[in-house]
Amino acid sequence: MKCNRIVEAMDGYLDGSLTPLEMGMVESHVEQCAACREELARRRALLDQLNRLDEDVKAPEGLLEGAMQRIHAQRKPKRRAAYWIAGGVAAALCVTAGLAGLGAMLMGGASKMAQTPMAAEPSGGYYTNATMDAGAAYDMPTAAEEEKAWDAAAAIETPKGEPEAAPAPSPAEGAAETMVQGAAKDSAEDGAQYGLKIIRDAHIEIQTENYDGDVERLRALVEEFGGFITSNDEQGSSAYNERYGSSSRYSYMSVRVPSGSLDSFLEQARQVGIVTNSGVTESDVTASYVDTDRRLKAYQKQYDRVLAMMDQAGTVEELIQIESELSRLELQIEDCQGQLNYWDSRVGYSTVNIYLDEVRRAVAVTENATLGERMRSALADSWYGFVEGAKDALVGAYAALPYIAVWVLALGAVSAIIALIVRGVRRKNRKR
Amino acid sequence: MDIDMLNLRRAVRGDERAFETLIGPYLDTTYRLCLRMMGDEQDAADMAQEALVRAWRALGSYKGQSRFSTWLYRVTCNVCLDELRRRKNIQTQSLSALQEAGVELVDPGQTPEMAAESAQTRRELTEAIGQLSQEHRAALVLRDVHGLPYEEIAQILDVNLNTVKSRISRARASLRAILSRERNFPARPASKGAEGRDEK
Ligand SMILES: [Zn+2]
Repeated sequence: MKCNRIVEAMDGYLDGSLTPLEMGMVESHVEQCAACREELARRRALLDQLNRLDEDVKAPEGLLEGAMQRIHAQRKPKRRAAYWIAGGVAAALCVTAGLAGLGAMLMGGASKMAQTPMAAEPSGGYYTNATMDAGAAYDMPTAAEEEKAWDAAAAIETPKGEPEAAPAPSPAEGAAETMVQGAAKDSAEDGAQYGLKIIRDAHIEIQTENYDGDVERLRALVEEFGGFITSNDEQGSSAYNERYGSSSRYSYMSVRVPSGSLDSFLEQARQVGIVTNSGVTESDVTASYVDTDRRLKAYQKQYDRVLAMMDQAGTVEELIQIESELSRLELQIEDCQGQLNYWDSRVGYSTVNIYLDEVRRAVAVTENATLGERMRSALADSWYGFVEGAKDALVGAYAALPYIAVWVLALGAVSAIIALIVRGVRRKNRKR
Repeated sequence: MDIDMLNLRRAVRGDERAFETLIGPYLDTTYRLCLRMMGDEQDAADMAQEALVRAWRALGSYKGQSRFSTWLYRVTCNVCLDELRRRKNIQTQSLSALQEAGVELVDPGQTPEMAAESAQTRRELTEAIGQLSQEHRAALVLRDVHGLPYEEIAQILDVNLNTVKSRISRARASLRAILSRERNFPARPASKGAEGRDEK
């Protein structure tokens, strides 16, 4: 019996996942017992072989090239369409600008004002997500639309959806797959019994001009909502990176908040900075949950039955058989219980992944923004441009003072001369 | 974060060269996983390519909630499991059926200079891994061939830690049973319940 226990602990021993006490027990037993020593050596050798099994295997030549070809081929036609659209938009803009310029010329002087917002853009440009990859040829203004069409095409091609959205694999293996399908049919009525088990997770990307303050605000917010931070990864320095148009400081925060207050938490979190991307994913695990719970109950019943058989066991052999059956059932019960606990935790607490990006000037680049949001952001953009332009104009005017002074003097001199001449002419006329 | 964020964000925005840079260091591991899951070099190359294409498409869904390598493992694993499930539905041709039909199993990475004994061991292991159920195979390969920690495997397979632990321990037991049967060793009395212990 004791050898059995030791053998069961061997994998944990080789993994190094046992407590020091257990490790010691295995070691001292193995020293005395030749059979176990042999078994341990055999297992260690097997693990060693597995570890080294693929160390020399290399990806075949052309793997990346083949994949990139497929990626590129699938993108190309849409990109061409994007160019056409971009060309059309550009042409329309030119015509509009031309008309506007004509109008301005007719109205006189107004064309100067039209230029001021552009002057707000310093040579490096202010930095947004979009300018970040301005070097890439296909970052046309319509890249967002193209991307959307692209996603739609991808979704059709892989009906199972992206791995992110793929349903959680059945915790049961093999035969249980059909059980899950069966359970899905009556999940509606079971839903009432168990309550709907829906996992709601969210992600949110925020640009901030006040990095340190906003990190603190987010932390405080998580605490306020009774949540907790599960991981936080801060990187980069606050040094402003001219080339990429942002300081390279960013923070990934993974937090858990009670799922009941997920929406109000998100609402608050969105106030922290400019949201460039956010979304909520929902997955309904009711069917799998119900199925697992049923299996758990079935295993528990079976366990009790087998346990009762122990009293009637006559031979040692029968006892051993019963014990092995019990330990098998224990594993299954633990497995189910663990999976249920996992789901309970994920249903009760939503995971929110927050990405906080430090920028010099936060700019919303929301693809699925509402018209109102877009108008507001456009207005904010142009207002910013106007203010910066006005500042520049002020500075320019100040800098131009000496020139203006010269011009004023020159004009004064010229007008004085003209006045003198005119006076002379009049005098001549009067003399006549 | 185990990758260059700037390249990631560029790739998300559609920069193919940034994606190449991003994915370059993971080609070998991606292929190795496909090889063990599919058991065939040609299938593995196809699946690895499919995994890269799918990774490109799904890149926007990577929100830094895990290491990038974990995420890519997950994409790759799903590609292989999807394909295996699809095949299972079409035809139930198991590895052992192939062997019975006299199909020689490919031994990946076998080189001529390799010692005969070691080549034999590799062939046996390849065969035995191929006989495990999909779920057991994935867990065992990620743990014992790729050497990943349990927590990471739980993320890749999207199951909880205890499930991963029990899958791996049962997969190892099955593997030992298959090997000892094939090597004509008498089954160890200790490895009780090694076979037929898939949840049924
Ligand atoms: Zn012993």
